[in-house]
Amino acid sequence: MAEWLRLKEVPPNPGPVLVNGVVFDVIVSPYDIPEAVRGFKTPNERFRIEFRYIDGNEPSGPERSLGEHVVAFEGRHTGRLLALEADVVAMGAQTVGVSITPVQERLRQQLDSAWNAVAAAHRSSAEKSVFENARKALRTRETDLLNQLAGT
Amino acid sequence: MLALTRRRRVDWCLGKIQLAIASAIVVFGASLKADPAQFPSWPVVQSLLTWMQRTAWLVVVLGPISVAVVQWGRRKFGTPWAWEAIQKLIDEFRNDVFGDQSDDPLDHHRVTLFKHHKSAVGFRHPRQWSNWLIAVARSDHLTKLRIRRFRAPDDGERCEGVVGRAYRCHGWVIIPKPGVTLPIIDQNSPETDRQSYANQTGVSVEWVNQQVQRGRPLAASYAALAVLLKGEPWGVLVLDSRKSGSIDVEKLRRFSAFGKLLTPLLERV
Repeated sequence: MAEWLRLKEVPPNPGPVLVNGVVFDVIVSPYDIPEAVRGFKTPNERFRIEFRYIDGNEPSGPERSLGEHVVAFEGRHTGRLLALEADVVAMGAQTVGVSITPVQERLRQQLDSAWNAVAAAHRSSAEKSVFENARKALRTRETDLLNQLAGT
Repeated sequence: MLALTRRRRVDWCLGKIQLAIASAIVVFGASLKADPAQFPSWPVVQSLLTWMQRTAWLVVVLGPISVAVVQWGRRKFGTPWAWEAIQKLIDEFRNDVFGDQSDDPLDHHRVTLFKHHKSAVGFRHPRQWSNWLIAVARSDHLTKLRIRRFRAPDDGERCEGVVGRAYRCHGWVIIPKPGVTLPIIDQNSPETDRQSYANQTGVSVEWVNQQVQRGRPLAASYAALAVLLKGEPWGVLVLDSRKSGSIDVEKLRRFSAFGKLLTPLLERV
């Protein structure tokens, strides 16, 4: 099993959020920002990226299919993103010029597509804010994660 | 709230009870192999052995059950070292957030950890015997007694206080909102101020009045966060300060470092 990569702390998205015409000052919960990430290849040739939060391992709820090749696993109680599974082989087949781009770059593109699919699934501004913070935290170790994925 | 010294004492007593029961199981079990007839000149030993052999089956059956019950009790109280570590964590977090207010008394700026209890028999009306947020740890060594309990029932509208409000939310709840100040309540405060304070902090005016009558000053600013354990709400962490605007939102972000340490401790209490 791949090692956990500890994410660096990022300042969460500040500022007010408009919900049903009412302005709320949202200060993101530290429990909503992942503290570590790891990536590995599953036995069925899918890339799996897992997130760890500061309150321990939450059981996974039902998986959510996001498009053709990406599946998101959300927390049973919080709905936080616990894992992301992408069928990189199928995704890569749709990419033009696959053979000339480095593996890490291809993985980055596919990871971006997977993230965009997850982002599109969030509807409320509070959910979007939490997701953006998670994505920002992930970016602090994205290169290490891609190297980890490429090495599996 | 159970004081740390009392927690240690309770755990010590329960541990000794467990040891005594385990010893009784061994001694009563071993007595079955003894023959009272071998002690003709010791009638006391003879009758004791006979009695032990007669009751051994009961000790062997009930003993392990009692050990398990006592163990459950010990876990219910939580291991004292875990509570001590939680106390240290809360003290450190308080120093981190309110360190620049070191001239003020410790009890003017506090951090309190509330645990959500699904059943808390004995509080108020029997219909309200469930879902309470009860203080389990508070920073430093003062104002640890008679900390108010807040209701946090399934009906979110009935959640009480800043604690209850945080229990309903994701993320830090800051009161008052930026640009607003909580009115300072004392004996001479008008009813409108008392009403405004009660509305902003989610408590009743009666409670505000009661605090004033008892001479207990009310906080001027609060910050509260729902504490999670494995994704499930465990309780609420509340910061309160008598000084308006003394809670720096930037410093609250430091809680993530404390939260990482808090999680394994909460699993043991």
